[in-house]
Amino acid sequence: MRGKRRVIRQSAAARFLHWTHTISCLLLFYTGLALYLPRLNGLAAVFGGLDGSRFAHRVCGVFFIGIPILMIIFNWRGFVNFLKDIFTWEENDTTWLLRFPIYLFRAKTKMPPQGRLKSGQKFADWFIIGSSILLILTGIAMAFPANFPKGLVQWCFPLHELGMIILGVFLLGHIYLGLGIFQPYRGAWRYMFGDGTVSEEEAKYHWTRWYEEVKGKEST
Amino acid sequence: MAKAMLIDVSKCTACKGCQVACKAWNELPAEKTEFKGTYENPLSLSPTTWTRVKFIEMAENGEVKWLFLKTQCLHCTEATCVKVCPTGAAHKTEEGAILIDKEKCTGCKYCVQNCPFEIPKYDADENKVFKCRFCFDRVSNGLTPACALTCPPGAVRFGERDELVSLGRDRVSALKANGNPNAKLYGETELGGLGVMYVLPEKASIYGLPKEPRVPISVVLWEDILKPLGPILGGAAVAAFALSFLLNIGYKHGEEAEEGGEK
Repeated sequence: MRGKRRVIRQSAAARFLHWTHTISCLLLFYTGLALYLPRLNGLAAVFGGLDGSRFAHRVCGVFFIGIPILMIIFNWRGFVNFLKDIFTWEENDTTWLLRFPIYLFRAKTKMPPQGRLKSGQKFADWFIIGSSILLILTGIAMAFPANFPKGLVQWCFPLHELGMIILGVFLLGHIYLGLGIFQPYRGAWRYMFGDGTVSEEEAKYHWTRWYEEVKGKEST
Repeated sequence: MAKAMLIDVSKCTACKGCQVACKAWNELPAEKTEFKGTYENPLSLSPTTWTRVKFIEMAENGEVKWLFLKTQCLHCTEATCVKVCPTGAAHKTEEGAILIDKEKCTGCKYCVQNCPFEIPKYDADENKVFKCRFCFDRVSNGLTPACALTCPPGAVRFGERDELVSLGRDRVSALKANGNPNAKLYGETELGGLGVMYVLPEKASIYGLPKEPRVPISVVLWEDILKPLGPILGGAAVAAFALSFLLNIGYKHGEEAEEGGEK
């Protein structure tokens, strides 16, 4: 599929945000896991013990929160476009989403054509972003408990863990599909981690309607 | 749990002997305090004050009752601190004492924020949490805890739990018969039975004790539901994706065409 014409899929800004979030999120998950159960405490040894891993958790948290905020401020249009992308729901979307569980186990299942984002991507984005916001808000209260009512801080512990579980499960799916371990998605890692382009062939396979739109614009 | 403590609040004279004995045995420094219009001193537990007598002025029928409550860790059977501790530092000994292992404590303060009695205190300098240790070093050598040993009116007793429960019940009936209709043995069954029980002449709420202490619902959700749910859901997801991978090995684009007319 190389050598053929490629279509721009992800902007440099989107890839930068994705890179920084990949790193901060994985480190946050790892350092958080060290406190999940006493028998996982050993994971913290990489950071010189639990004090070090807690400090690392907070430093990563600053990046995890700060970079999207800066991006929203300095790339407002990109943010608005992103919101439009994830909150549009087109006619095929429900069908696609309902058929996805079958497709996951039987990749040759015929799927309806999709726009710029597949409905499954949008669905996952809601949960990934929603749980991230939950993790951020509860995390802030947990890091500065003296500034919040005790009852609120107490509820932040289970909610932080709930956020971690939701995000963790969706990220496992995101990694499996996004890295292209799932066979029909081979090469998909390049859209975000590579140069941000997708071959015409792959674009047509994944997002048929979007691809046709892009082609239509090019030819006019 | 065989051993327990019974604090008969009706016998306490607020001499603070227990506070001094605790400091002396555990080699805890005195604290600089301020006069705030009460004999209560110090005004709260701290990393170096593990027991203290709380003073309560209660108005009843135009009369003031002066009540005293020796506060300290109550060594719950269902201890919230043990449940929430992410390092296993907070643990229960065979004798029933709840201890915080200083080596394992990382100062996360989960116990401070969740204890139903607000007992553990955080020391910022050491980045550790401290509280009453039930004089485990004395008890494990057959001695009585320092506060119980020193208490002049015998308000603090240490011994076999069964004996203390029946003693407490007797005291409560005696108090009820002598003008304290609300008297109560606090801690007999609360939180699975407290290691430190109170004979209270008045309602628990007057002493600032929760009427029905329990592990916070947020902690139950956190430790009993979500904690096991995480690995289950994560494991299920990994299994599903592994199966998906295995079932789709050898897939090539274009195979959908074979499906013919199916949409």
